[in-house]
Amino acid sequence: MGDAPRRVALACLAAAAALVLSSCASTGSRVSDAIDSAESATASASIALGLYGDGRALPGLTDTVLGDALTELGSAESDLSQLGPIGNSGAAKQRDAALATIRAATDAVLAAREVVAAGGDPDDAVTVLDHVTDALHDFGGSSGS
Amino acid sequence: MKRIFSVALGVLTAIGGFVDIGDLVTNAVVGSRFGMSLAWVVLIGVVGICVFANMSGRVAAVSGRATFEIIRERLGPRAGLANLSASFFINLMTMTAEIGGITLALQLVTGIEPMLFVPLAAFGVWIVIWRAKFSMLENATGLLGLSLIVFAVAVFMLMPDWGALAQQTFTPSLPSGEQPATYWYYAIALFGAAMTPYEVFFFSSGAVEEGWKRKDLGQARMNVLVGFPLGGILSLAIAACAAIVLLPQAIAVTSLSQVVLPVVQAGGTIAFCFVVVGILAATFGAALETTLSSGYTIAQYFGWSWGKFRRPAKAARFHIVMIAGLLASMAILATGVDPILITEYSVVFSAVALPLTYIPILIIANDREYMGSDVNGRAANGLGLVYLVVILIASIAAIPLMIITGAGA
Repeated sequence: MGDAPRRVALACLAAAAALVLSSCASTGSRVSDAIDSAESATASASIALGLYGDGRALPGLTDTVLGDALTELGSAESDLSQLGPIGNSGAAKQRDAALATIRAATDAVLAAREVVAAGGDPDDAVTVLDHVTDALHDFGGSSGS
Repeated sequence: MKRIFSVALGVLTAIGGFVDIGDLVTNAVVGSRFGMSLAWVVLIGVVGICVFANMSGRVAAVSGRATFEIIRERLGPRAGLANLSASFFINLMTMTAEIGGITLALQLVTGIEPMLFVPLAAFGVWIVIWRAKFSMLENATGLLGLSLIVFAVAVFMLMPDWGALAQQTFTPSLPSGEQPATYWYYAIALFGAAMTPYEVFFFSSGAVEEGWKRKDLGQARMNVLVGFPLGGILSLAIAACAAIVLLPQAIAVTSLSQVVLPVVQAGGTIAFCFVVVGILAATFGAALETTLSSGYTIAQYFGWSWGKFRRPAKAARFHIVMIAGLLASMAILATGVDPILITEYSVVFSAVALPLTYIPILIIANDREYMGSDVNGRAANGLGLVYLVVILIASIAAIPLMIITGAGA
């Protein structure tokens, strides 16, 4: 093999390696970004629901915060779902665990919204939201976000 | 007495009218992610808009011509048209963001999907422009916008660690988890939010609308030099509220509902009423200004009859452009695009487009043919040139930073 073709082959190998490395990095960072967004959403929901429980936030505002949190969680879940097949099994497990945590957070916000719609006592829903926020925070910490 | 009242009204209107959806969102986003470490940018932006507005107001009062009449005269039709296209596009983005902001504010009260309020908001903007007097629309929204002082009150009610806030402000550093490129991207966004071009189109055209003469320059200067810095304090208060309540809980602001949470935490439902009135006034006022600016820029460039001081029948094309602008904004919002996202892009593109209007105004402010003895003095020129460099750096760096950071993600 001459010098020129060898250089081209080496460049192609380097580009392929860079692509693989960058895709690994981007999988990790996308999981981390999604978890951060989800944590931000549930923390906002928890504050709003707490204020609602104390009679400081009106139902319209509380429902809007919860609705916005659901949009944010949906977007985080969609980002992770669109990652497609991941070769690295460790990364795939991390993605699946992140998805499960985000879905649990979505369920918690949906339940909170029902409490507000029904005009019920939001204390239990606040506790659940705090738990999922902590779970997301711990997940973010363990995944290096 | 009448003079004092007039000055006070002008200053209060300038304070209340300083904040718009771009300031609300960008300051809250920055406060929730970077604390007060970008407060210095607000200071630079406020001084910048004072320099720019003061210059453009003086040019309009002395020459009797507004920004785009002069841009076309000085740059020629072709370069002027390129300038107009870019400025109109940025203004349309800002107008869409402001109308979106009105709908989001209404959602905070009612909980109803904001998309349903879009036609109502656009109609409200149109009817006020059509029917209300220029001074009326400027003063009413500016005075109601003063309700946003509730952000400053909330800062005190939240009883923050003042030492920590001062440390963030005076020894800025990058919070953990944030990249330097993102920090600089938001620095440009804050700068763009403080120096949005429409403010200058509106200010200079307003000078013609209200028939300013040389003798009115003192009052105009007072409005700018007192009102805008006090408005800047409101911007800092918005960032401080987010830094006190949202940053410690890792909440990065992505919606208007998150912006108001610290105020509600501080003052409950009463504070909420004030903040909603303030946001509605700020966004509605800015929607009026951007809609008028869309008409001003195009009508001034093409030499059409313009202005609210004329009856609509005497400035038909001016009014048609504004109606077309409102319809375009409605069409954009009807796609379901997030108004907050439009806001975030509009402030950055404002920074990109800033030199297009700043440079011609700086040149004219030094031209004795237009300005006679009222050309820039040494101090004004020195400051003007420093800001030219700052504006050019921000404009050149904005798009690369937007790409590198994924729009600040």
